[in-house]
Amino acid sequence: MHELDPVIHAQARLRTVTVLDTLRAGDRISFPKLQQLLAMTSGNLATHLRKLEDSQYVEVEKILEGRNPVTYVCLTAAGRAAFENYKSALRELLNPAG
Amino acid sequence: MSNNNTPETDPARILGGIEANARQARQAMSPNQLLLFSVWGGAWVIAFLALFLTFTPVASPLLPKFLGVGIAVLAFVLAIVISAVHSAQRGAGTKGPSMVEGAIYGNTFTLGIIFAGLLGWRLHAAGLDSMGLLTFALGALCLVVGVLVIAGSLIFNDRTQLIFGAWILVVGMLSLAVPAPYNLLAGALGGLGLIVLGLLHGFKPALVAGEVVEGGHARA
Repeated sequence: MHELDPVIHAQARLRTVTVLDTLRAGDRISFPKLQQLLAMTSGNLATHLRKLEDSQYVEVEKILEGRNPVTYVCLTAAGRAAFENYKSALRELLNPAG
Repeated sequence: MSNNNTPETDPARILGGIEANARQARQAMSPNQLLLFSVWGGAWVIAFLALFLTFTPVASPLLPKFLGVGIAVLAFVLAIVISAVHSAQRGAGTKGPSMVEGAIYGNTFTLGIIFAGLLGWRLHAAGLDSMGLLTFALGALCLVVGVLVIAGSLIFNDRTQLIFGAWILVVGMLSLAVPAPYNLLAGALGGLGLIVLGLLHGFKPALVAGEVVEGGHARA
């Protein structure tokens, strides 16, 4: 299999990007909520988010809500485009003539 | 799609996994439509039947006025509380433009209902009798809810909301086709329709769910 973005292709990151892609542009999800939806450990999720952040596919924002620090995550425009390209590449692999 | 980190190699399975995960995520972050339609449908059926029974039989109504009105108010208050708590729980942990849009949309509902209520009060004060007020109340409620829900279906690109809004407008027109207090039966019928819509959304989603405009700007 070729032309598939290796950053997205790892199972855990693919699931992460898939969930983030369901949010509308500009919307963010808290780290605990994302962790709950993905059923991943916080360490595992943090590792994969760092990898996605390094590729500028996600943006991680730490803010204070009252006195509590909360981390919010969203897919960047580049991340959304990369995910669309990833899905297009999969469809091409399925149907090379199309 | 499995939880481990071994890449899947079958494109069809990967695409299927993406679709399944996206669907699960959307469901987890959106209100449960079956629950909301059942709660609101039940509230409409109970409230409008209770009100109807305060007028019939004409000689000796089955329910005293205070009891019928009390049941109706309780049914609507319960529906408001349940849907507000449930929606807040599902929306918790997300922020951004969608939350702002949702808040403006929700508050517009409240303002619309209050506006219709004040208008009815003024019309009553100006001489509109009880039967006229009943006609106005259900018609105005259906107009506000129907129009706003259809507008919401376009904002959120949600076919279920379009069907919901259209049904409420049909119910409103039906309520105007019969004299009060029989118009209240149209309200009860409207509630039954909402329950059916909720059941279809839960068990036959292909019939009522999806986008209004394929590939539209909003995501359901």
